[in-house]
Amino acid sequence: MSDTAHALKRIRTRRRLFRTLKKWISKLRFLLFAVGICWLFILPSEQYHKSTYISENALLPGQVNTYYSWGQVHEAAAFRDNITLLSNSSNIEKAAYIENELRKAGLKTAMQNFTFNMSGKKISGINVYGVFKAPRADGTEALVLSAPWKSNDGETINTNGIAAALSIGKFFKGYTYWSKDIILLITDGGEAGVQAWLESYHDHPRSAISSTPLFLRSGAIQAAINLDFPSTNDYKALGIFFEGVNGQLPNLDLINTVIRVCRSSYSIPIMLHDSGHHYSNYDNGNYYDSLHNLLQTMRHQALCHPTGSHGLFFRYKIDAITLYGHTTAQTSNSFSFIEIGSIVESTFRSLNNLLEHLHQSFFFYLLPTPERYISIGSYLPPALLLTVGLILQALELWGKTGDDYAEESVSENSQPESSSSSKDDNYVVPLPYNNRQRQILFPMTVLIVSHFAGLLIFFVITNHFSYNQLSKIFGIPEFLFTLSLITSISILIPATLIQIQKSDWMVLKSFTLAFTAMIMSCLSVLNFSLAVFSSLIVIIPFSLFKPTPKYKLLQYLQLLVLIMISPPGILILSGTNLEKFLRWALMEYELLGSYLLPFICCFYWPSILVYSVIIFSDS
Amino acid sequence: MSTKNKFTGVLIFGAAFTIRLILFQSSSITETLGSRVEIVTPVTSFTRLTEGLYLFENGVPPYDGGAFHQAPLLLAFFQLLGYLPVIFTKLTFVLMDLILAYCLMNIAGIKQQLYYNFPKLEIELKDNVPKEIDPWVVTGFYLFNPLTIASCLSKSTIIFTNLSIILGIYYSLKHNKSYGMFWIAMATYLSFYPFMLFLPLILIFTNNVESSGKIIKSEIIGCVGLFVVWLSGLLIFSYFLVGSWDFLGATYGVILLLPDLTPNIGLFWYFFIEMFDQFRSFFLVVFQLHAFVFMVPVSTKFRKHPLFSIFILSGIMAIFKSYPSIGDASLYLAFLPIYSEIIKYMRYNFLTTNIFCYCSILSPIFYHLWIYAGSGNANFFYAITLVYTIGNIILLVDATFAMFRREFDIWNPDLKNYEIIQK
Repeated sequence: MSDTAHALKRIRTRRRLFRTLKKWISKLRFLLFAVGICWLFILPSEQYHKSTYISENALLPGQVNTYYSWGQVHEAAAFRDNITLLSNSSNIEKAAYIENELRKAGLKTAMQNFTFNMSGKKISGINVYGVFKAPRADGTEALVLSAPWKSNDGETINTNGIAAALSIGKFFKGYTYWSKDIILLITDGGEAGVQAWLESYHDHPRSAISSTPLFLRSGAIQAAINLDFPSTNDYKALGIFFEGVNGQLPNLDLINTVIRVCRSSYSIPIMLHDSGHHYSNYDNGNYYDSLHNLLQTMRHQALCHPTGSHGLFFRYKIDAITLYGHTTAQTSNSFSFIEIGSIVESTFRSLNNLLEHLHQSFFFYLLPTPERYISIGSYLPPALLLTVGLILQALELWGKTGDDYAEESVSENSQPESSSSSKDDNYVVPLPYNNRQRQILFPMTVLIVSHFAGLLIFFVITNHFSYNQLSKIFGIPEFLFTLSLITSISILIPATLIQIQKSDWMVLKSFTLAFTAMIMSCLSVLNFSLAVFSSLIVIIPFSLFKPTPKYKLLQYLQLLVLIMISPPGILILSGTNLEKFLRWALMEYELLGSYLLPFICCFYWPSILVYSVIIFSDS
Repeated sequence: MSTKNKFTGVLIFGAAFTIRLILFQSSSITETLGSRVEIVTPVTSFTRLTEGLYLFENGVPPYDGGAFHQAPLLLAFFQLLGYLPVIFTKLTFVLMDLILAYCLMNIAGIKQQLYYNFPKLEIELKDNVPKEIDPWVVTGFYLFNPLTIASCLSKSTIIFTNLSIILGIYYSLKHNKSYGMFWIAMATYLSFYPFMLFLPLILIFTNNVESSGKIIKSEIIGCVGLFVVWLSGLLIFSYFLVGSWDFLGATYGVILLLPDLTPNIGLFWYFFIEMFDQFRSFFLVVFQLHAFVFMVPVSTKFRKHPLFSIFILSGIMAIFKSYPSIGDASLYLAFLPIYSEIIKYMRYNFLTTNIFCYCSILSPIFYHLWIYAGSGNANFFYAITLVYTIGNIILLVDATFAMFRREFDIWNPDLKNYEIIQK
């Protein structure tokens, strides 16, 4: 008997729980959104992040005496003057000069020509590199010290960077404690040069770059430091760039090592990227500085764009960062070759100690200040909370489409007789098979057609600029026209072909929400920032919008919002030059393998297309 | 068969054939799929088969390299195929899928006839005639299942096992004892685990005869005898084919003892990478027994529905075998629409669908993070295989519950509005 009572109690509790959940689920959803968004804004405050620490014991940053001294500084100054003189010469002369200097320093050198044709634009250049074979090892591992010809802004010549790299390379040659080969790489042609060199070095062509093969090689590259010290001035603060293609980050130990080295020997202010607060010793900045830094990082990650040449190394499992010389910061300190050289020397000595690939520390982190980090455990939950809200709503709608029919029938049957046994009525369960048959043909068709339209848009965009002749006739307005044609057709086909039934839109909305939630949550492990930004944009419209046939105005208002949050809408609202953006995104896709463009075309845009079907399907 | 049926059939098979053939044209797709650990395993990889075939054709014992773990008959089959143009290899895989789907359709039809007079729920009857799912839906569900398409395009040789299983069931349902036992022996010969399905197949035969102890006994003896004869025949034929018994260790030995720890979507690889050597043999026995332990209870519980126990057992096989792939899942998922009457009782459809979708997106992502990006590790991928396993288990448990609940409702129609809990 007690068993039965127990069982009854269990059923009752379960039912009560279910009913409460059903009642509160719509409010819970908004609570989850609110918590998620608040959580994101709490992240920069100091209580919610921790101090960084060196995880790999072998690194021992800042523990060695550095020998880079004034003799090398004079050499560097000489290199600087020569490079300044060369600034107007051709690529070939520049490359010849560098190769000559590297050879004089006693390094094995080689050159690499490359050309990259894309979208009617041609990039070509000559990479020069020298390999210093380590005296204490068999050449199975290597470190890279790279410096591009052009600085981060794409215009200024990286004069001091290359001069420092040359003097450091020459200086390293004089010591015998190296157990990893050192590759000195001077790249040309921006990111294309680095990509060409990396592809040839690993003999693994990915993009359409055609380049001469490399005959001079060393071992597996363990880490890379990229020097970006534009023009010939002294520098006020050291900027650190670390984001790579598709938001990938280097191992945190590498960043920590550089910062530890700076802190242990010099009082150089450090900043993340090239703007915001510059951090001196024992300075953690305030909330807004941290927020600024986080937003910068997230912007770079969301655009899937590498913030420097270092960003291309990640695809080959090489950890890398860029050191950037910042000239305009408001600090009393300033630094020049001697500090740059010593920092690089000390960092390389630490990396030289590595026994295995950098793996101890985090790969998933956000840096609010150079010396504090937010681990994945703290920053991933808000992104997931946002998507959980969507999943809950999808579940709610899915339940609704199934059970309202059942409720009707049950109430019809039970009402006449239930006056006496109103308590027993509680135990009447809707038959599992009384659930209304859900029509999934319409939702599936809409989803498939709109994603197919997305693929088509992607195909049109990727091929648009390749046909040079065509693109002259087929200008941007016509191009946009084609896109809008595709989108409207994709909306019309499912709407006209299939008879829409009552509440079909609910199933469609449920599917779309579940699908969006899935895409966003899966993306958040690959590229957290892109996932957060895109879910912040779509979450509110997606969860609120539904067909309102009675209020036409509201319906058109919803359409307007959807157009605003669609990719062209966002671009136009933010005042971006459409052609420029397309060219840029295409190059990122073709050259670097960034997945921003495919993501937008194949996932983001189609889900908005689906919504424009939803708001116009009559309920 | 009415013209409308014919038209549907041509449409479904034509579309399935065209999709597969078009996708087969892109070598980048087939190569990517053919190297995915979720789709091909060391015991079903076409690349490894090619390696074995090369050795075989050049007079080197094919199992010597330690890379090839598939049955010798496959070698002979593909050697014969080698005399034909390359396109025939692709066509073979496509055709096998189509034949499999055709058999599935027949199985669905036979099942509906067999259970025509079984008691049914009111809601399943329309003018006293049971409303049944159109067998073409079963075919379509199998042929357009993305898992099936991916498995076919990867040229995974699991399709041979799957086809043998389905043919075994088909001939058994048609009371053809000899063929039924031959194909199940073939499936066992190809990948060992289908041995589990031997018991439900016997039940198919014994269910058909009028229950008298003697006849049932002779049926069982006949089945066992045929199975043993066919299996040993296949093994002896294989011996003459490759000229030594090495293949036993290289195929069944590998399946049972797990020397190759290439990641897959199963539970074994991670566990046995972490395992200390002294415990390895013990846990190997535990894991393998665990797969087989369901054979008897499931078959006896559903002795009136042997096809349903085949569904459950092939699901268990797809989860707990040593080298599972999505090809195994595609086989057992194909049985679900045959039992469409239980779907209305299933409670977790939304959940399981979501789990399958999440797994199919996250497993390549986590594998990428682990192997290529280097920012993740093996735990990432293993976590996703666990989720996949849980999704499969929830589906199977849910289906079993639905089957029980339907039976219960049929025999207790007055209780159909009540919730039932197990104590």
